[in-house]
Order: sequence, then structure tokens, then C-alpha cells
Amino acid sequence: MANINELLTCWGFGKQADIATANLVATMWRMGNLNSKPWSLNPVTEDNATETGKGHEFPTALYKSHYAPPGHEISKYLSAEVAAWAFSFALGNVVKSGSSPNFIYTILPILGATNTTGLELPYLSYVQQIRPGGSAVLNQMMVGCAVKTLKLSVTGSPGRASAMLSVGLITSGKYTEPSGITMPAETAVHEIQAGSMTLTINGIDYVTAKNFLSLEWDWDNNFRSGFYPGSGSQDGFQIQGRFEIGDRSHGFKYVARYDASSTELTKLRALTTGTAVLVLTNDANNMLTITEQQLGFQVVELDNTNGIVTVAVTATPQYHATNGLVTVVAKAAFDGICQ
Amino acid sequence: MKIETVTMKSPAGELREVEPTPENLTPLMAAGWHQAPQTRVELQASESQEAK
Repeated sequence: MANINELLTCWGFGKQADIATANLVATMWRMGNLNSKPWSLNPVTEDNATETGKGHEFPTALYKSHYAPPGHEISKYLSAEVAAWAFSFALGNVVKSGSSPNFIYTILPILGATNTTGLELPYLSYVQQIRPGGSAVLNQMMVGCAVKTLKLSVTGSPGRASAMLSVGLITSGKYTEPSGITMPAETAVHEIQAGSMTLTINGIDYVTAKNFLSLEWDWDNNFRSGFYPGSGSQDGFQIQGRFEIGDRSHGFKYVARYDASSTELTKLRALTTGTAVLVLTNDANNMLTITEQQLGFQVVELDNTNGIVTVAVTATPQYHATNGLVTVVAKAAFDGICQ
Repeated sequence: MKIETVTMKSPAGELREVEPTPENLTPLMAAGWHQAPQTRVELQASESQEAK
């Protein structure tokens, strides 16, 4: 018997050398997770029910097939460190500059044609433990994890949950048990709440106008299956040997108050595009800036939120000819993220 | 005061040192440039060391 609040997790802030080579503990940080569900390996078996010669339709034997771990969510209050980590692993092209205590990670989505690892993003290892030691309840390290999805949510409610990051991981099926990892001390982070936000979308400063309610920024790498002849196996079950980006999707939605000066409908009709710049700040060394390089409006819908007329906008991030899709600048007092 | 630079590498292998502002980095990274692991000076020193 073990309580789920005993679950310890740590994962790579640095990247693995390749999908099969685990992080060293020196490149891992320990953090909690608001998602309390442990990550399951989910080995999959097959049977012989459909084979002839048995005289009946029922299975008589089981066979090993593959590991099919489900996606695993890391749900965190927004912080400078986790933002730098999540966007770096989700988008893939990272330039690190600055020095302690002001490291700057400039992050753009990879281009498959020019990325040094082709269609593959950086990989990391993920460790989960409950009472590690001689009679551990759980002590596993998932090797070859990648960030599939990323969602940043900003809401009007106060507190830590006003700005949240949800990171969807997938893993190859390769694992180490026991993990061999001595859990490091918990990493201190610089949390960022929504009260610090500044936001300009398509020429409108929503925060100065006190009109903004909520925002969702999301990303999905839509990985292709990593099973192929030679992809590897563990315990006789096949594992995945690569995660290649598919047709990635990127969403940007927000809700604002609607008044006589609102321009969203006009801009949709005119097919107007512009930049969107979102800034969330803890202090000068710990902040997140997201610049959508060319944003148009796809759906503009009037609604009411708690009795106030609002407008819900589903925007379409477009690829700018020079500046690409999106630029993320994450400043964090933490070295080595995705390096 | 010395201005910090990072070394960027183009898909064709060209190295360029730039001040790491979003305005400088964004068009390069959008065109497929990546951060080279060392500065050009370090690279040249490393290459000359290897030549010996």
C-alpha cells in the first residue's frame, strides 16, 4: 500500500544524446506534478484466437507484441524554468545565451529540412519513484521521451493556477528498472502568475484596455509511429526507435470583453493579420515572451461571460516569410535547459 | 563592455557570430540556422589544435 502523494518524479532538463541513451542525473531536475497518475508502461500482448487448427475460436496462448505507454501529462503552474524547458523540447530549435542568473533561451520550431536531427526533437528521460530502495513500490526510468503536446492557459482567476502549462509526453517503451537514479533535491522555480501579463494582438493592447479574460496557446507535434523493423525491443516487446514530427498543429484562442471599439469582427472580415506578443513576468531574469509572427482571425464569436458581452476569437497562426511561425524567448535563472 | 555573441551555423555550414537578440536570431532560426556549440574563435583554436 502506498499513497499517491509519495510519488516522486524527476526528468531531464538537458537532452539525451539520442533516443536510447538516458539522461545522467546531473542533467535531471526533480519537480512535482499536478497530474498524480503514474506513467504506465502498458506492455501489449497478442493471442492466437484467429489461427486455424485448434478446432475452436478461443485463444490458447499469449505472445509478446510491443510496449504502448500512453501519453503522460506533466501539469505545472507556469514558471520560468518549466516554460523554458517545455517550449525548448516541444519546438526544438534552441539558442542559449546570457549568463547566471539571466539565461536566455530563444526557441523556434525546427524545420525538418535543416534540423540536425532531421524530423526528431530532443529526447529526455523521466523517472518515477515511490519509496525507492530495497523494497520500492515504484522505481522506473522511461528513456527516450519526447514532448508531443504543449498547452499554455491563462485565466482571469487569481493565484498560481492563473497561468498553467500542460506538457504531454510520450515515450519509446525503453525503460530502466530500478532506475539507478538517486532523486536530486527539488528544483526551486520562479513561478509566474497571470497578473503580470502584457498582451498585444493584431495591434490591440488588450491589457491596458482592461478587456482581457483568458487565453489558450497550444502545440501538437503529431508524432509518427516510431515502430519500424529494427526499432528495438525490451523484454521481448518491441519499442519505438524514433519520434518524428508529423503535420504539427498550433492553436491560439482567447476571450476578451466586447465593446464599441472592438475590432475583431472588422479584422476578420478584412482578413487583417498582425503579430501577437504575449509577455508573462516573474522578474527581469525570469519571464516568458511569445511572439506570433503573423496572426489572423478564423472565428470570431460573440458570447456572454458572467453577464458581460464578450468575444471569443480563434486565431490562425500563419508562417511569416522571414520570421517563421512563432518565436519564444524564455529567460530563466537556470543553466543547461535542452543543452 | 563586451557585447555577448552566439555563433550560429547555417544549413550550408556557414558560421556567423550575432548578438543574441530575438530580432537577430528569429530570421536566422526560421531559415534553419542553429547554434553552433562553440564560438568561432574557439572553433578555430580547436581546429588548429587538431591539425597539430
